[in-house]
Amino acid sequence: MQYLEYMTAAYSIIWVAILLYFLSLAKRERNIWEELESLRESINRGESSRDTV
Amino acid sequence: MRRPYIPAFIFSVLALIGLAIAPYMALLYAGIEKDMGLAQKIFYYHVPCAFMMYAGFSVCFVSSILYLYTRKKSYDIWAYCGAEVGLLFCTLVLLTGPIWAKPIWGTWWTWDAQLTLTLMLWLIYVSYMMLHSYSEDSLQSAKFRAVLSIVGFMDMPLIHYATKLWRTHHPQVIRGEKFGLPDDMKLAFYFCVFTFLMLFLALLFKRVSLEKARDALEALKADVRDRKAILGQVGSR
Repeated sequence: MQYLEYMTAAYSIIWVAILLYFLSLAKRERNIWEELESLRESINRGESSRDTV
Repeated sequence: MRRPYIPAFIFSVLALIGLAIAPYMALLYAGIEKDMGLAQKIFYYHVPCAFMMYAGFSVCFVSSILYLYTRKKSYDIWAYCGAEVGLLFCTLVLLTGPIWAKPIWGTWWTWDAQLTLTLMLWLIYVSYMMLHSYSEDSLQSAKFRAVLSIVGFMDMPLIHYATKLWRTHHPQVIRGEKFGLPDDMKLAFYFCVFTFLMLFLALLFKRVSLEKARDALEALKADVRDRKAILGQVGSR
């Protein structure tokens, strides 16, 4: 098993990097949805306060 | 309800299937090269990463030209996302290359033409990403980035043909029409290229859909701010 450690290191780096990039995309997507929800709530609040006036 | 972006979803499923089978193809199906031993197996992931680096920067290059010609925001989005995904694969190429080089060449890094040009390409696209992140004027930044991506793209043929143009240490993977590998290694290599292509497309389409959603959200926020300002003016009268 010549150079097993080098092969393992290279494969691990690729797998971890791709996984981290996927996680960062998921985090960015969650942030967008949270911002959208807060925007929707602020619009609804604005409309309901106008209705009560 | 969140709907999956169809192309990203399809390519993600294909990439996941490929990523589950690729280790078997590369590690077990393909034979062990007698001189390089297991270090040669790095080739099955390193070279497809290099191909996807080319693909990402090519998407950036074509979209940048289209952006400069039409000034449509969507082309700038494709260019930026292509650069980001291309940079991910370029980083992987620069990390896995030295891991292969250490046992084979006896050194982690040498200022060989192909390696140096790849490092230059990485630096160009890191500058591209920094220009996107830190610039306040988005229109001017998009123009500068488009020009920078064209400059960066010119580096790619030099990297690809460096082994022919200069005397380099880097092995030449494809020699003209011939592909000097036994059949089992060739099949494993093609399978890994296909898997990384699916992965590249999944990441690219996902990134584009995210950037478009962010762009639409920013437009919506600006619209809400404008409406609030108008309502405030009406209310104060």
